[in-house]
Amino acid sequence: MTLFLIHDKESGRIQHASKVYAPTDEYVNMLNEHGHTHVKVRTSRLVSPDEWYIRNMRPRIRPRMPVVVSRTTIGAGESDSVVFTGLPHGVQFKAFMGGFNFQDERIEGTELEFSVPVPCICQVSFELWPYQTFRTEIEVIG
Amino acid sequence: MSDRVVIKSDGAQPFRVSSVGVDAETAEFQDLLFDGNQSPLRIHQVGYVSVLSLRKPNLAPAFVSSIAINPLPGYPLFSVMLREDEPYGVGACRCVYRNGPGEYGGGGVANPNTFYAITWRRTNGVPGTDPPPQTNYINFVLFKNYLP
Repeated sequence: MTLFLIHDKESGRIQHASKVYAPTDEYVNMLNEHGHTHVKVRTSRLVSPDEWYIRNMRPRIRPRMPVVVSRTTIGAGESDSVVFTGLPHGVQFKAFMGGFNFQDERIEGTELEFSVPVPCICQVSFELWPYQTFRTEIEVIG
Repeated sequence: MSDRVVIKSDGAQPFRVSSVGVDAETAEFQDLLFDGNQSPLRIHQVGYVSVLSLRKPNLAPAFVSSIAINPLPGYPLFSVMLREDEPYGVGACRCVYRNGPGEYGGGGVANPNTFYAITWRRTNGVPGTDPPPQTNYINFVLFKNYLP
């Protein structure tokens, strides 16, 4: 059993993973003819692109983002807030409420103070390649 | 009296095994546990492939991404599912559904050499902005029929 990891040459992002039970030279030739840069790993695992990427033609764990969340429950309105610290420079911040993406911005500093105007369960994420995306939920009470 | 196992030397019915109470010689296909003329399907590969979402909620053709699959001879039998990744990445597989801003649609088509993963999910972004396309993952299982 062989795992083929096809990835973007520049970023190392895994675009396609196939666990092939009986790989043949014909299959490998087919990948090459399609122009797919790939890494072969003898494993029974199917690695997640959320946690792995390719660096120097080897699969590696994406680094964890060192974000610290001050609180996970806050009051609604601008008088209360949660503070995220340890943000890498240029991270993309997204906030969702009931599946709606209501905030999406690039953060230049290492801290973010965030408040929500209405009670809800708010999902937030911080994205910056090649870090693993940091996700958490903030409960906003009335 | 019925024989549940038939082994013959001629090419017509080399080896057949039937269900309980069914004569293997005359059994219909659905009553057979094994038929030497019907080559069994085996899993050829499992995996995922990334596909970009649509930028706008319109009727533009979905993006496709081609990957190489089973070499010939092999018939394209497959199963696919869109994997959820937003907004907080539980990674659950999704059937096609629409729920408010969430539009989960994904699938695939295949010919003997290529599998095309497809999504018609639109980009989930802040209203009024033009967010970049999101990456969606289509999980797949490809089967191979080894009958030459």
